[in-house]
Amino acid sequence: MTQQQLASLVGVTRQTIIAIERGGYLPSVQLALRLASAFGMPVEAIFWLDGEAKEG
Amino acid sequence: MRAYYVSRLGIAAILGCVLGLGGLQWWLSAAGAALVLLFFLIAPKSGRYVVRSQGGVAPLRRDERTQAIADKAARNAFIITMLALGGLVVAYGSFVRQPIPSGALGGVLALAFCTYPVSEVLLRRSSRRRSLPDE
Repeated sequence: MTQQQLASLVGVTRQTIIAIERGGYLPSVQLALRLASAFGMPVEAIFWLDGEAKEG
Repeated sequence: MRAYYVSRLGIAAILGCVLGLGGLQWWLSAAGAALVLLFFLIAPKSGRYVVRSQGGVAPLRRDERTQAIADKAARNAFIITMLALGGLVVAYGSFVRQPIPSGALGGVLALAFCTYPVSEVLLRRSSRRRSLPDE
């Protein structure tokens, strides 16, 4: 899946996806849930707190 | 997206007709319509707007990040303007002891108009350039 496809799927710009990937923007809970839904994963699998070990 | 482009072409054509019927020279009307069409063509690719089909006649919307950036830029412009205005009032009231010239107020307004776009561009860049977090 490309960044543009993901952006279209969740209703944001490609630049927002890039900013989230780089840690420059913290998405809202709603957007985080939409991203998780787009990936078919639980939200904690793609977002986690700093200093917390990523599971899986 | 096709519906978006077709509808924007229609809006630009209507605008051109309205300008032309309003008495503007035909080439100015055409240029105005072309500028509006250009904006509609560039906007979805600019990273500032997303096209939402359920948006009706106004399908261009900011997403949550660009809205947050616009809010911060507006806040920055407001703060800078108020500080500049306050400084001007204090300076002219305490030190110069003369009425504030209208040119100085125009300068404050110009500062506000410049602060918003500059702040917006800097905020957009800062959120894109941040490095990847440690994993």
